[in-house]
Amino acid sequence: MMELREVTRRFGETAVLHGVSLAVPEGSFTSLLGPSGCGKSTTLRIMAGLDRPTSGRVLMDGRDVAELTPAERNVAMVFQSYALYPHLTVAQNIALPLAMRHMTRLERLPALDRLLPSARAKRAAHARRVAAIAEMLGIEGLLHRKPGQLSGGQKQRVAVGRALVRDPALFLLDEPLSNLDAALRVQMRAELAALHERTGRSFVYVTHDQVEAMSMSDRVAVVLAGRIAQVGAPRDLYERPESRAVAAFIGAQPINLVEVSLAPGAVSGPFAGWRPRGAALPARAVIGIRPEHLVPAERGAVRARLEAVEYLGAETLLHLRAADGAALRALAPGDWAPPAPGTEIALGFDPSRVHLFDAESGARLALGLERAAA
Amino acid sequence: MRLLTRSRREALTDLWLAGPATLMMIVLIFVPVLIVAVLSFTDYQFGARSFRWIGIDNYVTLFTDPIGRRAVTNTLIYVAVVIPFSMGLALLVAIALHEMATWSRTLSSILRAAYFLPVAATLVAMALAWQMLLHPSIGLFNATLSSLGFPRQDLLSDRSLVLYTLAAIGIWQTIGYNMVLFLAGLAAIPQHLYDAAAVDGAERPWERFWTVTWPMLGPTTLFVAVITATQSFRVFETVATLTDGGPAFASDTLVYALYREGFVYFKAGYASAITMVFFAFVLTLTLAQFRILERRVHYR
Repeated sequence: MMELREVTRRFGETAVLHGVSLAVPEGSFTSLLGPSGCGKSTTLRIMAGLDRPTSGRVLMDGRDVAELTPAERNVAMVFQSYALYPHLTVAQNIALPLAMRHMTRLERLPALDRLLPSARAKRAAHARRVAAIAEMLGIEGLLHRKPGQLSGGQKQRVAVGRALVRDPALFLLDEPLSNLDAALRVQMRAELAALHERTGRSFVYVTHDQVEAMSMSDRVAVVLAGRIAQVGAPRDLYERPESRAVAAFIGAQPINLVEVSLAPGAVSGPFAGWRPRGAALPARAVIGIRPEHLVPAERGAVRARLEAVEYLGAETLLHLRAADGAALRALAPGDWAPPAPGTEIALGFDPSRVHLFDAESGARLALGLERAAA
Repeated sequence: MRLLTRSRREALTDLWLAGPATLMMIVLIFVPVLIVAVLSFTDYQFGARSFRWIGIDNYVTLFTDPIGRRAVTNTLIYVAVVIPFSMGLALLVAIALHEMATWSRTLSSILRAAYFLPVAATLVAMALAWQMLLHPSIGLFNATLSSLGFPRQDLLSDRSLVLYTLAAIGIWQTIGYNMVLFLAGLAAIPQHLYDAAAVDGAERPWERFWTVTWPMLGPTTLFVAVITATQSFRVFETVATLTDGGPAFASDTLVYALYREGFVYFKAGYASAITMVFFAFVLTLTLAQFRILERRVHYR
């Protein structure tokens, strides 16, 4: 189990990580999800041992590994650019971690490995292991090629093979799919998930693509501006975002965030037909509701003027503006016939789908909405 | 209506761009080389009205006459010493300065400038400084030797040492240039390969060097080898300013012999033959380097 405790990292004056604490349970597929520049790759490099925290501790199975190199930690890493050695064949690339680990310096010498019986035996064992890995990944036909002769997807598999070959305790993947085309990405997503299943090892997967994070992992840590904003199952992140920032980051369609003022029994703005439920009301709050939960409904309490319509096939995205000027987005089914732009339409939602956040701190409020008795 | 089709116009543009330089090449390089090649089979002397065809006599002289053979072997020894030492030391310095830049950019830049100085300076002027430094009685080198208890050495007049002294100066002069080339090569190695090597277990500097640095420097090394080879074959200034090929032709080299025969003794035919041999050496070495190394450095 890999654990970070209060890890900070500064590059000169710039702080990249501000006290990151994260535990990766044994066998889990944990994604670090965040926009570019949020510190997720730095976090991964600190886990790998390629970078060292300015302060804080890095533990593996309860042992402090701050002084251990990546190889001593027995972690494997797949890089965004694959980082294959261009001068070695695919087979040599995959076998390199084995050679570094199991062969003495003498045995690794290019000419001697054919003379020394011990080196010959090890090379043969490595070749068998490489062949088994290659077969598993479907690259057995490429073993004698150089990386320069491979396509992006093939390089990706070789990089995964090199990570797999010495049975590491932890797999670290740094945006491994971002250089692939869309169709291949979907395929590799499934293959990586299957690989995780088969090896049973912990995977830490860095990505800025929430579809990848949500679809593959059992736990997602949202990293925003050098902090872990929320850790949870993909469903938790979507259904119960702990802060306004997480709510805004998660979701295929950006969530509607409307700032309103609250008073006992009354909400301002487009949600005037509703009243807050719960104790300790702040004066101002942000109401968040996802477009897919705000749908045209004849008896809906939210009324807004239709400004533009985007037909997406399965659904239709509606751009609306409420009477007080707040912009709203709603999703209607694809077969919904939109009225002419400028028409005022009524929208309904399930109150359990509404999130309330503090207007100042952005933290989730333990409040709900209920229909005002009108 | 256009007069020419598009492909014709493009072909004309190509001709217009490459034409002038090609013409200059032909007039200033290929034609003279041809003339020199023809002259090398004659006994032509500068200013003479006529010449005789003497076949390969000039070449026979160069390779059988002790003085001619001396120039050829001296040049080969000089090249054989300068290439490996200049490249090896330049690579060491480049790696050291590259690493140093991570903790002190200023110091690295100062040292870089210092190493590059001999390249930028006029070698003839620098030769004077070397002459003073190596002077048998007042030079700093011998003062150091004798203060350490070693016998004094006259590095520029000792027949067994003079060639290696010149080679050392040649190395000193080319390290800076090769270092700059290697530094550029080092800067182009992607960091993620070092990261991958660290994860794969290549952690010691030596392992990192053999796993990543040396293979990735392949194209740079080939280029440096070719440049150093052609440069060291051309050794002339140090010979002309410090030794005049002496003592007793112990430091005579091809280009210096060519200068002496052609411009001092006006033996244009013989000088042409030396030129052709020099040309053949450089061409063979360069082609061999490309042939042998090209396939092994680009990894396709």
